[in-house]
Amino acid sequence: MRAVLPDAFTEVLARHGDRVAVTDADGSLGYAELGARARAAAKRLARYDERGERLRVGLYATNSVEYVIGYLATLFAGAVPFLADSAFGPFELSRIAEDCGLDLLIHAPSADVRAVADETLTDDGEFGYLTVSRVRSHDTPRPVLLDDTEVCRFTSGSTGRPNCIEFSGTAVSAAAANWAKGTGLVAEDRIACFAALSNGLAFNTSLLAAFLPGASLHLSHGLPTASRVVRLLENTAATRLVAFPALYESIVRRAPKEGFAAVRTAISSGAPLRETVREEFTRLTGVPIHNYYGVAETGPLTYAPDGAGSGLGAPLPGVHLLAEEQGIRVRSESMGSRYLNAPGLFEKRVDDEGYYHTGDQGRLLDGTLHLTGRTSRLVNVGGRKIDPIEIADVLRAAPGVLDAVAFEAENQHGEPTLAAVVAVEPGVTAQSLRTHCAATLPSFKVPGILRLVDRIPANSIGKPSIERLRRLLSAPQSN
Amino acid sequence: MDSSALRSKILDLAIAAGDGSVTADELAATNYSLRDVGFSSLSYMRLIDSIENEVGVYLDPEAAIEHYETIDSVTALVLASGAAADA
Repeated sequence: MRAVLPDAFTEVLARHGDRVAVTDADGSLGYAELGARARAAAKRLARYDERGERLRVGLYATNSVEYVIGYLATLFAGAVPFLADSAFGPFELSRIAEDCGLDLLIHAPSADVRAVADETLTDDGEFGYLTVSRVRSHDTPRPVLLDDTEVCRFTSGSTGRPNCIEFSGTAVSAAAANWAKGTGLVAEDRIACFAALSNGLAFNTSLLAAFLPGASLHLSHGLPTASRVVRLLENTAATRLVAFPALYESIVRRAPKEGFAAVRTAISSGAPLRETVREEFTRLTGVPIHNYYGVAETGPLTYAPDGAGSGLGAPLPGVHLLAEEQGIRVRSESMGSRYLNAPGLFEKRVDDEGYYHTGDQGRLLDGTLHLTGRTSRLVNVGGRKIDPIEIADVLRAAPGVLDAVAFEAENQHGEPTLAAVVAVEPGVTAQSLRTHCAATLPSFKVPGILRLVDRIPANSIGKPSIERLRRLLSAPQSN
Repeated sequence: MDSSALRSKILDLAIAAGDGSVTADELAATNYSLRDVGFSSLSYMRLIDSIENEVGVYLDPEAAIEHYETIDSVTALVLASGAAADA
């Protein structure tokens, strides 16, 4: 089967030749240069092949020009890129490597990859500051990829095992084309992208989508504080800002006077944006924030072109969306195929008509989607979804812990965060529990609010009462 | 502002920037390590914003990670950033 994405990228890289394709704080590449760099790196990757079947290459790094080179190189080498969140810790990384049978890992030299790799491969600088390591092989057979799978991305699974979604090249290509068309991306656009390219928002809105019309992609890594965002916007004269709610909150806190002159469109996703933040951002900068609704498994689904109000917009081209009593279900041209490492789970969420059941509740009003709730138990903290059951299990395994419940609560800033109430023996401290969690969980999964008690308050049938637990958080800590 | 007053201010700002369960006592028990009390990236963003607002310096979030580990290292970074801004 002929792959779709190498041809798609080859075509756009040739078509836009001298235009700027991608920049970061350390450099800039035109389309033709990006193509040349990616092909050189692809040749190097092909030499690392030991199995004679499609290489599986994990990308485990923050945004940079080199990240884009590594992604394209993997496609050009006929290999399959697995885009892992750089915030994943060693535990999740090793689960991914083993579950998905990764061969190689492209990563920053400073990243702790000892859990999965011990051989750094030599190169001649084709990957820039990034390094390629060979992943240790496992005795167990690895799951077979579908023939048409060209990209794999991850979504929050439970018990620390991120689910690996297989995407066909056709789906990735359709997501980009429909986004570019549905949101009016043009060659003159300069996209400042602060969301990680491993994340669905950035992947679908800023990578192939940016390159199709010949727009330029401007990347930044590290904490996107308002001051840094303003500097990048000023340096690049960006016309689009792709970010998540925490960044908009930061801008509202700092209230910058300048930096947004060229920005026409701001896109927020990952987690709900508070209405007060949206209004204040637009008042300060004059830039509307456009909502977008997407699901990791299905790609981008809606977009709000006018940027006003709390609605999530109308379905994008290629999307059929039904908002019914049993929840929102969708069929899109950008749908994933299945989970590589969780057989049958994805298929269970797709009905006989080919609609994926999102787990979200909502309604369409005048063709605009409004979310009203979720049926999923996952907690969304700053755009990262966390399974509270997984966190409670980790806490229960800590020495001196009698029981633990994790749940969503508001922090002192009115934002959703993960809270845990833990029944402990004398001598256990919040500090020791945090250290315990940090040893096995990535930092974003460590509860932001920890409350230690003698006993978990329960309701009349013996189940933990979330209402009582929430009230307990607002009472002063007694121990 | 002298360094002791600045440190005290940064301590207050850090407690305000957290999710709500970090106290001055807990910070004292960890030698004022923000890492050890589980300061998240969202909390760091709030802290950097509030320091920039209140002290009037630009803090580079790309500065080496050790600058953001404790109240004392953040204080040193703010002092160095202020000195650079004054120069």
